[in-house]
Amino acid sequence: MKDQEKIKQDIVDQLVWDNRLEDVQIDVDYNGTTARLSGKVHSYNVRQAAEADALQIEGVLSVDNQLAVDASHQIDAPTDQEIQNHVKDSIYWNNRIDYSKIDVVVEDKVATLAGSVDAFWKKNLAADLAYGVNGIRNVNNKLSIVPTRERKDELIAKDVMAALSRNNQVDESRVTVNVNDGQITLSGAVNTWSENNAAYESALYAKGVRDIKNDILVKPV
Amino acid sequence: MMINNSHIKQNIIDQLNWDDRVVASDIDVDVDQGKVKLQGVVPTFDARLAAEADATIIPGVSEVINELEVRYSSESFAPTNEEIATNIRKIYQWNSHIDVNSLSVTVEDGLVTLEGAVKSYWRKMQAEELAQSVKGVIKVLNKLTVVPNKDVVDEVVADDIVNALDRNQNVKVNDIDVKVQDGIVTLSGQVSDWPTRQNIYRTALYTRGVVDIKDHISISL
Repeated sequence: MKDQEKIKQDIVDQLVWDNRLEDVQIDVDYNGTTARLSGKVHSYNVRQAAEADALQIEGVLSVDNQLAVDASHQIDAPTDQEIQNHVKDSIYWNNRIDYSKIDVVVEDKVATLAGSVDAFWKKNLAADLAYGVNGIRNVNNKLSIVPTRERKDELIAKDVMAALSRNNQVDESRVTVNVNDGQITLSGAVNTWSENNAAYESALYAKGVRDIKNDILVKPV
Repeated sequence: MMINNSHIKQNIIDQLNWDDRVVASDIDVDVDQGKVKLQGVVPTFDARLAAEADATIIPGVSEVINELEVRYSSESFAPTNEEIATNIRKIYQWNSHIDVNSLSVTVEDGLVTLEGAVKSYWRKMQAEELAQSVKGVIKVLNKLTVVPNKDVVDEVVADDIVNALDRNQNVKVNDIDVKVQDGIVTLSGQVSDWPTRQNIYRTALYTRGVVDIKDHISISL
């Protein structure tokens, strides 16, 4: 059993190791289950990388990510208007998303995505593309999902459960799937964060999904 | 656990049918002793990667040979080579991690060639990924060279990778061999599943001083 100080040190070492995290000042706290990250980073991607790093450490069951994205010290930091154009173009030029029903507004370095896409994973993808744009502080994802074909809740649930049982990374016996109006709720427990992520992806790319609430806990047995 | 070829094949076909990102009917699946071959046509590069990911998570799969061809449907809007190149450059320019001034992008018949220098291996791979998702791209030839800012001694790179693997709760391995020469990392050994292999690769990917990765880890069934 690792003690709390050792786990905290492992998190710090992991952040120091990560080549994506250059010139950052991140404070780490650990209370026995949750790692709390605070400080400033220069991009949203770096913020997410730090969170993923902490989740790799044994003993970390969740991350309270308080890192603030601050790109203001950059030379030629982009304006809201520039960021807005960049987000629009990023989505427009992506080969998976129909841009015609998406509207992007950037204010105070925060992008708001409005309009609709035909799948939940495309809603996520649109936000990911926005997060990748230099200078962005956060994304407010208000996209609604209008599937091209309706799919019954029972069928979606069946699809997701079958995908979970095919997946060699997930012990499906510990995961429960509920679907209501295309909204999936995943609950139960898994052993690791990568297993949790694999279970989430089994729901994410299923057909007919409007939303996913992932309540799966990481509880090693 | 004994799994036969036709069972694996059916599982992969089911997985492709489940996946909203791909059109399963256009993909041929062939399985021989855990070795999977994917052939046929997909509409985008991302769909090609999604199909490969679908196959890798099926129990009993030890290798995936991806021969899927990217072909844009004639109705979908096809950008010119010049437009593709301009858009890849733009996307690099807005990305906070890639210095567009140090690379060149050329496009011929949807085939993208990246040349120039980046300061880390993960940036090289990120440049490739970003290019793959741009409308009209059929293939990316990644000729970028990695020139780290600071020289890192091979022994330090190897130690960094081994320590990061030790810290990672998603990688339970003792017999992975890490060799580093002139920044080129060679990973070898056997693991029991794909996510473990992927986690090991990612650990090497984000380590400082890495110039290239030769991943010779095999999946033992």
